[in-house]
Parts: sequence; C-alpha cells; structure tokens
Amino acid sequence: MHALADFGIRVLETMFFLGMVGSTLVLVLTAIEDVETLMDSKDEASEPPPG
Amino acid sequence: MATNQPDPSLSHRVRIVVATSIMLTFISYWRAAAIVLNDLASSAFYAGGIAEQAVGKSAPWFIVGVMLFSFTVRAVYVESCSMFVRGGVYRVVKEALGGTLAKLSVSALMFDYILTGPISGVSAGQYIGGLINEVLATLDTHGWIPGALHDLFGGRPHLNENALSVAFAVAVTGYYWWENTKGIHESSEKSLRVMQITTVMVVLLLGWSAITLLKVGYQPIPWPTPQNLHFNAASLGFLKHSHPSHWLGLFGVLIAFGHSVLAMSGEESLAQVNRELAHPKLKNLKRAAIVIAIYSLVFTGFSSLLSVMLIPDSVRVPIYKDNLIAGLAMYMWGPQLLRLAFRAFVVVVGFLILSGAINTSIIGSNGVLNRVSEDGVLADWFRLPHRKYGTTYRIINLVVLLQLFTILASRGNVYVLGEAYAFGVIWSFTFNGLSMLVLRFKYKGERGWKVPPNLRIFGTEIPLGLASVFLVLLATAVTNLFTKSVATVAGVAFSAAFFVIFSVSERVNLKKHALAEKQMKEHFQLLESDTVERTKLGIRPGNVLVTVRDYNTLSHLRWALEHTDTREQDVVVMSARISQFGAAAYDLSTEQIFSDYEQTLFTRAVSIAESVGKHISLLVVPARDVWSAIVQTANNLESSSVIAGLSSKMTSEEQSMLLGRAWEATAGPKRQFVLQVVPPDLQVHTFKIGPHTPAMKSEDVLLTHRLWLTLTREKELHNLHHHDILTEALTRFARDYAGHDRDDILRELRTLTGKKLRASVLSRDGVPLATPPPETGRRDDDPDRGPSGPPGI
Repeated sequence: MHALADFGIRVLETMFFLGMVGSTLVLVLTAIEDVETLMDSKDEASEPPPG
Repeated sequence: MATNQPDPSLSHRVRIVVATSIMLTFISYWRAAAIVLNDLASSAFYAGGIAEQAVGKSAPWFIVGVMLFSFTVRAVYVESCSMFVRGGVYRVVKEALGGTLAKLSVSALMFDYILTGPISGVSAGQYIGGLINEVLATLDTHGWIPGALHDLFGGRPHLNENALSVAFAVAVTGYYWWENTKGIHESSEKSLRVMQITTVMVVLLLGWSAITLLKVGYQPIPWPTPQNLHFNAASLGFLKHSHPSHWLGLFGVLIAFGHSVLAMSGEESLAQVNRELAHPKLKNLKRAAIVIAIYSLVFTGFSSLLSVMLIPDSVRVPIYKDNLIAGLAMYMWGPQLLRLAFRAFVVVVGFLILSGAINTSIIGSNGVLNRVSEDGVLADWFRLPHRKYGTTYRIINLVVLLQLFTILASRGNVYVLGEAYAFGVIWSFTFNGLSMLVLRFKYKGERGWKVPPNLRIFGTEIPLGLASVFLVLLATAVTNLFTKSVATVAGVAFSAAFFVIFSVSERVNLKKHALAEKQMKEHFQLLESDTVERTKLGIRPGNVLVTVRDYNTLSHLRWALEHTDTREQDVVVMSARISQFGAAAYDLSTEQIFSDYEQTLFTRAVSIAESVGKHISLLVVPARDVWSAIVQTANNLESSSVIAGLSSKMTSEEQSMLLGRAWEATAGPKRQFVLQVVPPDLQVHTFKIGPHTPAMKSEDVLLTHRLWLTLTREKELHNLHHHDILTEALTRFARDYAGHDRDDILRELRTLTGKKLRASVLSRDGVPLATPPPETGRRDDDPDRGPSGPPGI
C-alpha cells in the first residue's frame, strides 16, 4: 500500500514537473504573440479602456 | 446557409421558420474583459487568505504562480473558441468525449457555478463585518461608544462576523433570486462600470502600497520551497496521517499549488462571452484574454504578495484572513482616518464585485441548466416559464435553494467554501483540457489558433503545449482529491447527484420527446435557416411583425389580425427564445429552439388565426436580447410595424424606449418602423421607432408659416423656405443644449411634455440624456398629432 502511494506520488510529481516545464514554454510563446496582438492596432475598438 | 425544402406531401402543415443563429448585440473586447473580470477578479478578495491558511506564509508565490499558469489555461480556451464559436466545457467535452463525460463535466461546472454565489456572498459579508467592527473599535478607543452598548455586548461592541456574513449572503442571494425570477436584463455597461471602480481601487492600492514599502519597509515572503510549506490537518485532507516525507518534496509544492487554484476561477466565462465579441472575433478574443490575464495577475497576485509584505504576522491570519485586502488598507502608511476611509472604499468595491458574482452565478447556473434541459437531459418541468415573468423560475429556485443551503451549512466559513469551490474549478478545466487534447487528433475542421508549441514528427503533430497544460491540470485535480477532503466529498456527492438526475431525466425525456416529436411533425413543419430572411418566409415587404411570448396573453395577436388586411400585408408571428449568459456557450439545434413550449405557443397562435380566418407566418429566433432580436428581425423582414402585448414589468413607454435603444445600437442600414403596444384593454399605444418626420401640431405649422411670412420680407431672404427656418431653429436649439442652457431647456421640455418618467428612466440607466435621438421611440398616440401607424392597422 505504501509502495503504491509512493508510486502514485512520483507519477503526479513527474506529471506536474513536465507539465510546468511545457507550460512555461506556452507562457513565453503566447506572451510573444500577445505583444504582437497588442501592438497591432488595426481593427482596434474605438472604445477607451476602463478607468 | 441551409434551408430544408418543404415536402409537398406535408403541405397541409403549418410552416415555421426556425432561425438557428442567435441574434446578438456585439460588444467590444473591453466590455467582454469586464464581464469575465467581474467573476475572475472577485476571487482576489478571498483567494490569498484561503491559500495562506492552507499552506503558510509563502502562499502568495503560489497565487502568483497560479495567475501565471492561468495565462496558459486562457490559451486553451482561446483555442477552443477558435474552433467552436461557443467553445465552453459542455460543447467541447461532448464533441471530444461524448455525452456521458459531457454530463459529468457540466456537473462539475455546476458545482463551480453554485459555489461562486455562497463564497462571494459570505466573503462580502466578512468584509462588511470586519469594517463595522473596526469602526466600532475606533469609536470605542475615542470613548464615543455609549456605556449602554458596552453593557449590552458585555464589553467592547463587536459583531459576529460569521453570522453577519451568513445573513448578508442570504439577503443578497434572496435579492438576486427575485431579480432573476423577474428577469432582469444584464448589461455589459454595468460590468464595465464595476471594473472601472475596481481599477481605481487597484491603482490606489498598488500606489499607496509602494509608498508604504518605501516609508515603512516590508516583511520578506518565504520562497515557495517544500521546507517553507506549513500544512495543517485541514489542508492535508485524507493525507493528514501520511508520512511527512510524502509532502516535503515536489508533491508538497503540488499540494500548495492545488490550494491556490481557486484564484483563477472564472476562465469559463471567457468562452461564454466569445459569442458576443465584435469583429474581428479571434483577435478581439485574444485581446480580451490578455487584458483579463494581466489584470488578474496584477490584482490577485500583487495584492496577495503585498498583504504578506505589509500586514504583520500577528494579525494577518488571526484577524484579516477573510478580508485580506481590507487588512492591507489598514496597514498602509498614513493617518488612521484616511486608512479607514480607504478600507471603506475597499469594502464598497468588494460589495459591488462580489454581489455581482452572486448574480453571475445564478445567471450562469440557470443558463447551463437551461441548456442541458434543452438538450433533453433535464426534465421539461424545470423549464416551464413563470406565469407572470416568463422566466425559468423552477431552475432559478433550485439553484438558489442549493446556494442558500450551502451558505447556511458553511456557517460563514470562507475557508471551507473556498476549498470546496476549488473542486469545481479544477475539474471543469481538466475536462476542457483533456477534450481539447483529444480534439487535436479527432477534430479536422477549422481551427483559428493553436496553443504553442507544436512539434511535427513524421507528419504527425504533437501538441506539446496543450499536453503540458493538461498534465498540470490533471496532476493538480488528482492531488486535490486527496488533500481537500471536504471538497472531494461535497464535490463528488454533488456532481454524482446531478449526473444521476441528468441521466434519469434523459431516459425519461427520450420516450416523451419521441411522442412529442411525432405530434409536432403532424402539425408543424420546421424549416431550419441560419438567418432570418424575408424571402425564406415567403412574405412581402411592409409586413406586420407580432411578437409573442406567453400563450396565456395573446390578445394583441387577435387585435393585430382583426386590424390587418392580410391580402395587403402579411402577418408574421415571432417568438424570441432567449439564451441567457452561460447558455451562449452551446450550440442550439432546431429541436432545442422549437421546444414543447413553442409548440403550445404556436398552436394557440394558429388557433387564433384560424378563428379570425387569416393566414400567419411563424418564426422562432434564438436571441440574447429580446429587443435587439425584434429590431433585427423587423429590419431583415422589412416590416412596417411591430405589434407587442403590454409587458407585465414595464409601461408601453419603457417598452418603446428599450426598442428605440436597440434600434440605435443595431448596425446599419436600418429601416424605421412603428411599434404598437396593445394592452389587455386594447387601448393601443403607438410609437415610431427610428428617425422620422415628426407629426407637427397645427399651431407649430402656423407659427412656422408666420415666421416665414415675416422673414421673407427681410433683405435677401425672399428665397427662404419653411424648412430653412426649422433648420436654423434646430441648429440654435442644439447649440444651446450643448452650452449653458441645457438645464433650462430640459426644465422647459419636462414642463411641456410632462414626461418626467422618461427622463428618470434614462438617468437611472446611466445613459446620457443627449444620447438617444429625440424622435426615437416617441409615443405618438396624441390625437392632435394626426394619423399614425402603418396602413391597415
């Protein structure tokens, strides 16, 4: 039972670690795209931002 | 654009055109972001406190981590919305994994939606209770509390914050229950205003905190390493008896991350507002998503960091755990009165945004249950409309009863509510992530955007980014099952109960619907159409559009038929099927739009037409806003008039005002038409919608003529026309109105028309009085104003 719990925890840790590494890549790549999206003022709505 | 051709053998049946595209009023990405942030940003008020109680002082780093991770969850939603315009959990899961898992995911989503109300209400109550106690303590310090109050409380006056929170949450939920039963109209304008006020508070909070950090210094926040995590029995859940070695490694970080995920609740709303985004949709969706993610990171993430940096350890959790931002306000640098005033402002903003979240939760739950009900997985009994207000009151009652039960069961404990809330949040995201991953291989249709990076190996695309986000979500969701015992028990029980209800209802409905469908096919012939077009209904321009909703009040239809020569004008009977916020995420099939209710409604309409001996055309349109749907339909059908019954909730003037506003908001080209509101006593009120030549009083015509006679005698004015005088007069009027004489003009006009009601309606809704054109939606039933209304009516 203890071994099974250990195995389960290791699996979850591996999933989390690999997922976080990949998610960091997603974050960086989408951030680059986000900057391009924000810089592209074509079709920009005329309404001012809140505040 | 597919229109089913009628089967000649079935020509005796009544044809009904069912429009399958919802008629929407499109909104900018700022408004879309404001709607989502009303839900998402509200978690800033409680997420930090809950996370710190669960994992210790390093919790803010996990909140920041979750907010950064929310950028990637947002990317998954953007991809799903680029595939399906209504890319919410139910639609995506059903497409990828089938009906059973779709029902399961909706059950988890329902748990999320229903919990949003209680946690928001109780949290708002904690902020209010905390402020009252702070004010009482300040007054007592100055000796301004009467001795009698001391005797009454047995010392310093102090309110039980938990009891107050429960009472407050029950009261606000009750208020919104009644508002939703009546069928309030949700506007993006209100969301935008709330977010503007919230932004003012956030800017003040961050600016003042920066000054405080410079003047007073700060407490360091322990790094988010396993040795800095301090779990208690409650935050370890079923693992509380396990060996510490289990949760001292990376698993400890995962547990802490799981306790902070509720900070990103509300992302699902992004999929729901996508349908209403203006062109270019994908670009605007991305912009809205960027605004949402950055705002949440700054507000939720930074306020959590600042709370630990500025509020002393001795009071942060013991006193301010449930109203952390209020505590932050009290530990700013500056005079106490100013800090107290800022805390009051924080409470006002918290009240606005958290109360709004309660309303959103009722609307969202109602929308989701309506949709699954329309999909045949919830008994039709739930969707029976309210006799007076036409709302799905039974679903609203069910949702509110569950919320009230949750509020009372929580006894005002924000921590317990937050723990349970995270269950629905993480599992609905996990289902969505898994489905999107499956759809990468299964769905070959159009896809506007993909979560990066994607590797191509031997011609097969490997969705690395999507898989990574799903792995984090799944690992967190599974870990939460073990560490959040209350959430697991409550969430699993709740989801299982809903799943069983859905499954049983679906079986019962399958038999019932088969019979209903047979009967319907015998009487009606449904012609599906993407859009409403005059040619599809086979009607002539200048027709009469009659709006119907309640089959018990169709006297206006009879009146319209009796007053219309159908040899000259066609009569179109239209029913708008309202798809509320939350429902827009899902596709509508013909059977869903044309339900049992519409069948009964149109059966009665046809019966009236037969009794009058005239022909009618029938039309069902799905819509988000009924007024916009009427305007768009009248425009598309080239109708000369719209005839409606008198609303049970508003006067005919208010009905015309709302229709006039919808007309103004509709993109051109637009046609003018006449609105006739027919009350039960058949005393018809007529209004002209859109700009039109005003009906002038005879004395005004005479005055214009006299002026013309006088002016043409002046030098170089012998060519003057009557309309030149009106042009000059109106130009001067507009100039005076824009200048210092505005108030005088308004006063005189109010005296002249006596229509103060109209002015108050405009002011109450926050619309500048200058916005609606004076002729839009004008009542025109004054006998002095000459004939009005379309020919034949």
